[in-house]
Amino acid sequence: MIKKKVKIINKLGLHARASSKLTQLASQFNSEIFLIKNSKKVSANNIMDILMLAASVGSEVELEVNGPDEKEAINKIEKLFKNYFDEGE
Amino acid sequence: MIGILLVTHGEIGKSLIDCAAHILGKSINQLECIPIDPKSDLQECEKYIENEIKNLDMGTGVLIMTDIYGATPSNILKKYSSKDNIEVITGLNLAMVIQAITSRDGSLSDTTNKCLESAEDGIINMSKK
Repeated sequence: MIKKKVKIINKLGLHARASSKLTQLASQFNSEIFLIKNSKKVSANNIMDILMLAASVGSEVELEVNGPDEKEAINKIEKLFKNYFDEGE
Repeated sequence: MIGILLVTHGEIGKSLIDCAAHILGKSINQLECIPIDPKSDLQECEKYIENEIKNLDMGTGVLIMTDIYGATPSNILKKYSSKDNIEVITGLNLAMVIQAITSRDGSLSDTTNKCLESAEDGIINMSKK
């Protein structure tokens, strides 16, 4: 299992479109992928659960990945966060 | 895949589908809407609903969602709510539509329950949080 904290740097935070991109990426891996914020843990495969974290810009979430492709999964997900969810800002 | 049908006052259903497609970044299959307005012929509406149920049911059933319980759309749908291959739920909102689209590979009852949970979870008094 790998855990890593990531900061949300895109202007709109983990909003609906960004959450959708995250679920689409997470579903490509065989590992179980979770997001944790303020002790609330949700599956990265469920867009509505991710939205319930209400994670805005500047907040921090912890990624928890467990499975055969966990390294690749956490790297690509972290990259999505760092690339502003491809939103440019 | 569970079929999804929105039966709503006016263009609410179409707007919800457009918003869900925008959020999910793709067009959505096996998802249709039927608008009901004051000028609608209710017998015609029933025909549209029955046609859409046939078109949308791929053998795993159809989830029908409508907005206000007790209003005309939900009253029209009452006759379909007891059928084995159909679930009818009310209180339609965008969270329910997105939940339905993204969790419809299981059983009809699982998809229905997830939509109801999303609807409840998403109603929050942010001022008191």
